[in-house]
Amino acid sequence: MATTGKNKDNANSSTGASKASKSKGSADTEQSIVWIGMDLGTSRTAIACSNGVRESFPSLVGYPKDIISHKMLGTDVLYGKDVIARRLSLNVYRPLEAGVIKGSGDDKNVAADEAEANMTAARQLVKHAIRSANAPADSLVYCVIGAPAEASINNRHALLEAAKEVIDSVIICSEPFSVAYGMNVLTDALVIDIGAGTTDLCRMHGTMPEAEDQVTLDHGGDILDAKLSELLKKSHPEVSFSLQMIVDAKERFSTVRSTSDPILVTWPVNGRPTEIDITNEMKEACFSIIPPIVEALGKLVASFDPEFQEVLRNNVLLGGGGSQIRGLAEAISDYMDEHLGGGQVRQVEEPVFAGANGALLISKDMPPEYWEQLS
Amino acid sequence: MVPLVMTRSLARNLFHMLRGAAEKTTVEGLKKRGLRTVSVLNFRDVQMIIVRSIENTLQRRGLDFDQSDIQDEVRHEFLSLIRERDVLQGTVDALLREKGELAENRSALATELDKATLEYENAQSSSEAGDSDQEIAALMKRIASEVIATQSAAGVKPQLTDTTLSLVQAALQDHLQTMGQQSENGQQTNLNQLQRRIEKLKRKLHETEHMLERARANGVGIERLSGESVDPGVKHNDPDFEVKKELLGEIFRLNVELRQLLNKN
Repeated sequence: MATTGKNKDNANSSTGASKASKSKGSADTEQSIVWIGMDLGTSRTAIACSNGVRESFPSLVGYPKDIISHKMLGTDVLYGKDVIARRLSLNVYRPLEAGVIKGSGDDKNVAADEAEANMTAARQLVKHAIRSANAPADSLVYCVIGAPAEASINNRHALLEAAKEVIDSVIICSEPFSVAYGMNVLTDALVIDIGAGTTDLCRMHGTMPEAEDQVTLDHGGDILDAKLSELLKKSHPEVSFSLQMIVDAKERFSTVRSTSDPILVTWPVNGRPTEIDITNEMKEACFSIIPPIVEALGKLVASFDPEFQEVLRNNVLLGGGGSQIRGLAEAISDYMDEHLGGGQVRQVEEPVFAGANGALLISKDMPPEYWEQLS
Repeated sequence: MVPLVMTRSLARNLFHMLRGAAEKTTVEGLKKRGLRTVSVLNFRDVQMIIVRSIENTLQRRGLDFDQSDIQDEVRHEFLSLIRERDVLQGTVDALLREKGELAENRSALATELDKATLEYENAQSSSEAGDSDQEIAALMKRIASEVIATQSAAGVKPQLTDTTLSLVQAALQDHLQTMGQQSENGQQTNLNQLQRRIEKLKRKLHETEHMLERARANGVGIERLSGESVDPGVKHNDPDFEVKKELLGEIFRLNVELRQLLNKN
């Protein structure tokens, strides 16, 4: 559902104004609370809400570069797809990296002002996501946000900070755990959540997963983009392409199937649109994420109770935006057969919304008194 | 591959099913939910999406079946889904009706129980009060004065008058005792009956409340299916209630610890 920049600003101010008049005493009435499950991903943000709203948009925030762009765009800030469409007139921020807010960890390479700018962008991204939920102005907003399995205390703190202005009560939860909760798979299962920045693996055994039950890999969609770009530069040095063109091609054609139609894109060669066959490069880049995933799976299986290792190996759930690569579940199963002596992988029904759906279920199941205590 | 086509009857069935399954809401209701615009999907587009998704899936899988076989199978599957949905809808309606009747029944039983309890209390207090000693003494005094007046007028010896008086007093005492016993027995029977009625009403009320609770739990399932908002908190009838309760408690504890840690810093 599209809204204009002006409408977004209005929605924002009404939410802010109403916050002061909210009463906790009326929190137990259905109308007065909107529960939101949020997957704040590096590449995409998805929300699933108790009022039926479900939205997903690229995790991008853009500010007009100068006064001319500001006049032309008629707004102070743009989000998601609008940023991609108007990126030439904008200073673009992708405030999340490896599933956490850039500069919120112990990374000394990020300058203080850059970290601050990313924090502001993340805060506005969360606000935008909450506005998309269309919660009535006087209702309380209770939200569960999925965070990468290995997010640090500082990363989690940054998420809380980003959320506190617009959310009345917020709970941070491990992202792969929320995928598993949403699928009602709470025991003897392995969840793989392939995001843009990271791939999270989580072992479910009926209790809250601990550090040794979770692995976060740096291999996500971004690595795949970089790999594809590198391969294409080698095989087609004459072709001009941008990172966004690589992302678009990946979203349309990504596959690991050996039998598929040729993947053809029309990209410029010396300024002239030319049809290029990128089938082999696409398959090789997509396949590159499988070995590290299976290696991590093997470690999680091997350190589990030997009696239940087979059950675990045969109950692997694949979710996250990156899991939409065609044939990925079968390819991981085959690779597991070769290297781990067998395994069954199945893809979750809605890869993009799986985390948000699970977070929404957690938020609804959470006892009201817990929400009150955390508000 | 020849493009699939949806037959007219299949399209009609689909249309009716979608219309039946759609949530009905008023424009005012949408406004209350904060919705300013809604996305409207044309039925032809829905039809096209379904046809295209079947087509794409078949193409992706490299399957090459006979078109009429596929259409028959899809039609068969679709009709059985419609039937299944109708049965489910019927069950949902019956459960909702049952829930309404139970709620009415419960309120009638509660009123009756209140009435019976009040009746019981009244009966108990009147039984405890008994006849007044003063009234008996006044009656005895009136009888004695009438006996003395009558016998002295007839010249009866005072000794005989005293004997007559004591005989009358004894007879009256006996009569009162018998009457009192009878009345007490009647009152006790009445009290016992009332008590039994109260016990029965309490039992029925308890059973109705239990049934109502179950109907409400079913209602939660129905509401979840229809996408409406539900009561918060994991439900007792959830098969994984204990595990989920523990996991949610753990998530809460971790979030409390995170806040405590941040406050310290």
